[in-house]
Amino acid sequence: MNNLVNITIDSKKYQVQEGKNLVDAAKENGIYIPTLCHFHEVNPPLGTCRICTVSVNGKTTTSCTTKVYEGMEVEINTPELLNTRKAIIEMLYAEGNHFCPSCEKSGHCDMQNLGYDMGITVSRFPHVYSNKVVDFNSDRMIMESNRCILCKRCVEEVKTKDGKDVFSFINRGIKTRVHIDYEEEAKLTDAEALRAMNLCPVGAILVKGMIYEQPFGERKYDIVGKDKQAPKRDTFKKRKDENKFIVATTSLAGCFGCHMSLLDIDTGILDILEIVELNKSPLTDIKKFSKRCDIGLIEGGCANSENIEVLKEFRKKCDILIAFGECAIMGGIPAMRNFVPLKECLEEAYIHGLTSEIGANVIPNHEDIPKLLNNVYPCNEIVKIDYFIPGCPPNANHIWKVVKNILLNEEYSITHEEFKYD
Amino acid sequence: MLCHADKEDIDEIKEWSTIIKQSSRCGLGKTSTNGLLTALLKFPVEFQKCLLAESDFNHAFDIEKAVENYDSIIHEIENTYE
Repeated sequence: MNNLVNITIDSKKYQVQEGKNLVDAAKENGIYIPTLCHFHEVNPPLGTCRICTVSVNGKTTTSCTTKVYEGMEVEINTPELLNTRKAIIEMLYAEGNHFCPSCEKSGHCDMQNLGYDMGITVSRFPHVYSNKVVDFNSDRMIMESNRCILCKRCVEEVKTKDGKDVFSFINRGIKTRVHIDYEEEAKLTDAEALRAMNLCPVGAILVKGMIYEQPFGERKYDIVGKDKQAPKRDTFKKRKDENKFIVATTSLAGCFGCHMSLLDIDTGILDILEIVELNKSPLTDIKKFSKRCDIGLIEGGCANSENIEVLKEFRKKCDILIAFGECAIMGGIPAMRNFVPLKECLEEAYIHGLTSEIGANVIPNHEDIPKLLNNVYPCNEIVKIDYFIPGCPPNANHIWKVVKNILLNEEYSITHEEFKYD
Repeated sequence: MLCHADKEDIDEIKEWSTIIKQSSRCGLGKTSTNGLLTALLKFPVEFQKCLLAESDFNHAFDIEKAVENYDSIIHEIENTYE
């Protein structure tokens, strides 16, 4: 097994051990191939997540399932392949219900880390918002299928002492989910249960009571990414004007937290007001547009007919639209109602709720009250959005940096600290 | 025909097809986009016919449809309690 073979990676030559896994072989030579389902103990490799997709001799394949051989030509970081890998992560975000701000594993999550790494701000695919099972039945564990990416790591790796599986796939197609065998799970030691939780590349397997052990900001990828910089944008919209730039802001179905964050810049706001004039905005309490705006900042997704109207109005009156905050980008917390039929939501709130009057039977409705939509939609599914600032809420400096950069056409970079979601 | 698409959507179909081709596990996936791509290649005129001019709005989003559930819930309640 000690035969060395020559391979080419991104037109550089390397010598590696024959028969070695391509991911490991590349890693030995300091080349990073992103992976989710793959980790060193699994043999044969799973090849389920497809994130390690590379080109071998002109054909795309997963590198975790590829063994190196003489004369192999590998391409890893071509723009096309980078884009494909980014798209795969975006698909995972669009298909599952990944509410990072409320996830216990945020900062500890391989998939979140890859998202930061690839500079994902928004998924180019529409969100599915399918209703998934959250299983609390086990005494010790929670199975959060909303976050599961079906990588199969736990199914392959977690076994009891007698060699029996604890996790297994049930159902087929889009209904596939991981199920816990409660009896076998009870036989695991606490350390083994924790290992299962850490094995999960996302936050699907949780051990009850262990979830907030490490505070945010001190977790694995928080520390790894401390001095990481978000990728720079290469498209700029050129605008030069003698007058002040005009900015409008609004909050749709959001909590106004992002607007609070806007004010967090403290006295810096004085510098900003030197170049910026606010038009329609909750900050100025101007209700209607009085002139055309350069930039519109939008917080929150669309939950009712009024939100849709305001959003369309913004698109008409603003040259550049920026969605800031999770809710505007993927629906956020309001979108959690997408899993429950609208009727149940309304009945719970106005008829059967604990605080509603006994005998109440009215759901508020009037022609002046906006109608609720069937689902909560992210802004980019209604109109075209030019820029996205993720965060819950985004850092104040981050928001104004983006605004200033777009207005003054300057380059800018954001540190991981400012870019982080939680 | 609904005619909700604009030119960008066609480009998106092509881009997404490449992604499916590159990242599929089996031959079924790798060839799954061929039908649509061939249609786009051979009958571009048919596709052009129903394209809208480029726009900043998503025309596939129908507000009437999106408030359908709410309307029917309110309607139901009004009928029951009047």
